[in-house]
Amino acid sequence: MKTTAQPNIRQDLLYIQTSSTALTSKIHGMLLLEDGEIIEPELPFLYHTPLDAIRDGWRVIQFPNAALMLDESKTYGLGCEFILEKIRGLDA
Amino acid sequence: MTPTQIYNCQPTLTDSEVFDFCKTGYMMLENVVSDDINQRTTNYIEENGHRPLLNEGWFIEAVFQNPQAAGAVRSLLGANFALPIKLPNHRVNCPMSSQNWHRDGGSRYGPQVNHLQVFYYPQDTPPAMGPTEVLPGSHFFFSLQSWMGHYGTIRGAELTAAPAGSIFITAYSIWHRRSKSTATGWRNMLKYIYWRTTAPKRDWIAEPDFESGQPPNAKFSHPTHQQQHRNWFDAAEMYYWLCGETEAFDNKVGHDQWPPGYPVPNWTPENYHNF
Repeated sequence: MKTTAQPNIRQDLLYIQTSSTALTSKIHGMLLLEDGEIIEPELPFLYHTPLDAIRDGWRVIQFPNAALMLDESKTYGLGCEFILEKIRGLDA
Repeated sequence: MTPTQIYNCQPTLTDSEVFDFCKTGYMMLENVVSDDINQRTTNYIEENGHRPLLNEGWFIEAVFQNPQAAGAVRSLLGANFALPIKLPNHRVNCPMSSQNWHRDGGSRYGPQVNHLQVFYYPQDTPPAMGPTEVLPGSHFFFSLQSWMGHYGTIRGAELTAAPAGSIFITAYSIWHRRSKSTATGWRNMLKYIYWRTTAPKRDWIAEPDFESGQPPNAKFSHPTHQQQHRNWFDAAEMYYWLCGETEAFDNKVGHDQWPPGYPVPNWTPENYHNF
């Protein structure tokens, strides 16, 4: 079967929820996909802010969704969510 | 099918305790069921499964009608509340990974307290046995369960680790999950729901000075993930709903001390800023 998948790389994902849309805002929640394994990091988190993660080589692929912040009558989800990725090279 | 049974008893919570529930969305009652009942329940489950417990008078009296737990339920749901008609057992063969965060189906977002989801541990349930993890204050966070699967470690989450015979009461919409267990062995956790049959009113143990808005009422001991002051507002709205005074709450636009949710002059309570 023909595939466009690239067998020699793998995507790592970092989900973080923060107190605001600022890259320097504190992280409330975190989940990591690392080398194919889902990891719930222990406190204290490795990164304090999204900026910390970016400086460590993570790349933002999704910014907080502003559509969730237009209704002051409800608190939607868990804060502002950033999703970041790293591309991991696999051994041949 | 188990028919609906109504139960009444004296309320045991004070204004402060009711408001604490409004703030956090849960309440832990440690070691309120006797050891002989805990052991009898565990043995019964081993021999018969958990469902027939719904028809066992000794279990209904000791657990569903437990004086401390029922008194709290009475305070929050009013007189003549309905006893549980279903009794799931979240029985886990530890060790096991954590579950996804979720709100239970059937829960509804809002200040209303018409249902209480209650949990009972018949055995000691330390952190190693994977007790339920709750996120205090999250009963005010709107999210569909299917959109919560990617949440992981969250600041402020608390484990309901407790000794045998502990019962914890939750607002139905609170975010929760089974935590990761590292020990070996079976962990039973019986879960059941009470519901309201009468209109809400302030008929628990009233504290004479409570409505004067003493500053300690505004203290939140858990981190908040909400917009500034929103946690105060939501907790106050729920408290007023429980008092049967929603209209009075809607008409309040400011006060020098109460309700929280409006910036208060001249003093700043703890946790004034989001963490």
